[in-house]
Amino acid sequence: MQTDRIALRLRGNSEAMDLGLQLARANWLQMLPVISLGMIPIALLAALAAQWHAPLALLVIWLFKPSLDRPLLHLLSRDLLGMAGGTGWLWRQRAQWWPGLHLTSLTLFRFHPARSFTLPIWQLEGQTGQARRQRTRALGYGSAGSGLGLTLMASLFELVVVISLFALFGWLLPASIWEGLGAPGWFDPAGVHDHFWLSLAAAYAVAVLLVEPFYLGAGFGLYLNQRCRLECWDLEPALHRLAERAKARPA
Amino acid sequence: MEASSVDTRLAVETPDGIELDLIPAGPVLRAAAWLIDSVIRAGMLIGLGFVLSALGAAGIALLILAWFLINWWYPVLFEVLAGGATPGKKAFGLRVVNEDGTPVGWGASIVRNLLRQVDFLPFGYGAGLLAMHCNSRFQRLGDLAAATLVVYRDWSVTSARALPPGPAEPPPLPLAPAEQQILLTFAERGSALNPERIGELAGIMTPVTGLTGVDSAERLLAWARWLKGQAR
Repeated sequence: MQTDRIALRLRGNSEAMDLGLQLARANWLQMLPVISLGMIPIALLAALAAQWHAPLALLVIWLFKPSLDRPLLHLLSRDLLGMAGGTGWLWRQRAQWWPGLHLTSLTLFRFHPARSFTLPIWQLEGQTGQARRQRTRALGYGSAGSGLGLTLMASLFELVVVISLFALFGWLLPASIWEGLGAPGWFDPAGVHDHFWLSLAAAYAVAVLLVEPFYLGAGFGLYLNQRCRLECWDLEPALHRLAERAKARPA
Repeated sequence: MEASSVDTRLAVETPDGIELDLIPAGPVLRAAAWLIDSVIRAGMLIGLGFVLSALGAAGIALLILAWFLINWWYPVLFEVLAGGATPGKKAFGLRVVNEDGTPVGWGASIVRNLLRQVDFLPFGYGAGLLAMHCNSRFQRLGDLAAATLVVYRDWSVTSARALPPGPAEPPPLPLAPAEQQILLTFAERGSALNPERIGELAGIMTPVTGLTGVDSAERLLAWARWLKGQAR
């Protein structure tokens, strides 16, 4: 692969994830409207589920996170090739990022310990069946631990954002609003208040908006590095340059 | 306008004019290092608590003093006296340096660790996490104030692997050091690739080797062996 967007080099796993974070940072202004728009239908669905049973709102948001990743990954991968557009472009390209094990990623693979690392394989490479399983195993060799660590840390960061939001609102909002929401009774073991669950779901949605693009970016960075390791992507440009120089040399 | 290339490596110049590459470390590893340090600190306090509880009220006073020392001075002492790394950072191969790559001193270390209290707000380093993603060098607020970086201590990933045995022959054209390095890297890492991909990469060099696919790769490997023999 030829790209000027990132400096390709064989890196350690942690540094590879850092590269992904930097790539996500460089694309953040493009990613934020996309993931925010994607959150709207999920939030509506969560609100519907909450009518029945309030804690389900959290579950719905959690369940559909992989769907939010898809357009973001498409954006990042096209950005490497200098072909990325805006939100409208992404919508018109939806036939390219919507399919590709979408349903499986929401069900069977929802618990995959390194889903942001494997999503590029499922979504971008398009192998099926045995070939895909072999491919996932080959690419995961030597990076599965880092992928798992990344997922654990990302969940921790989501938790940090959720509690931070609660703390911020606790400090900034007047006490009367909290009392109006029944906050003093939220942690009453006799029955946790619905308002608590709905506030928690809202904070969680914000945490997902903030953390998910970077979680996805870091996993993509790990994926790119594994391809450098297994396919020597990083050597390709230098070999081309050497061949060019040799050709230009007078015989 | 062409966007500049995204990279993790940061070129800095030390005060004595030496060019140096630093690689700032991101939040994932740093949070893990912090967790380890927290466990160590908690262990120290619990251990001290057992010992000092035997002393009654005086023991409680001492424990509060110890809590203050461990909370505020644990990172500073390790960063200044132990090569820029607390045990947690050391475990993950990280260390703290000044922005120009020099070892961190008392002033900078105290500033960056005092401001931990701000980075920690509103909870669990929420502010620090946000700050790290607002600059390209993963600096939290304490790092920005103290002009420090947390970098990877040791970041060479390519261990020199032995080349597969075979014939050696000199390359047909003089090669610059960087080009020799490319051939050597290709030869070292190529053995891990599948044959199709080796052929594809070596095919780029077909105009030079005059061969195609795997034969071209064999020729490149022979040149690499010769270069390696020269270097020895």
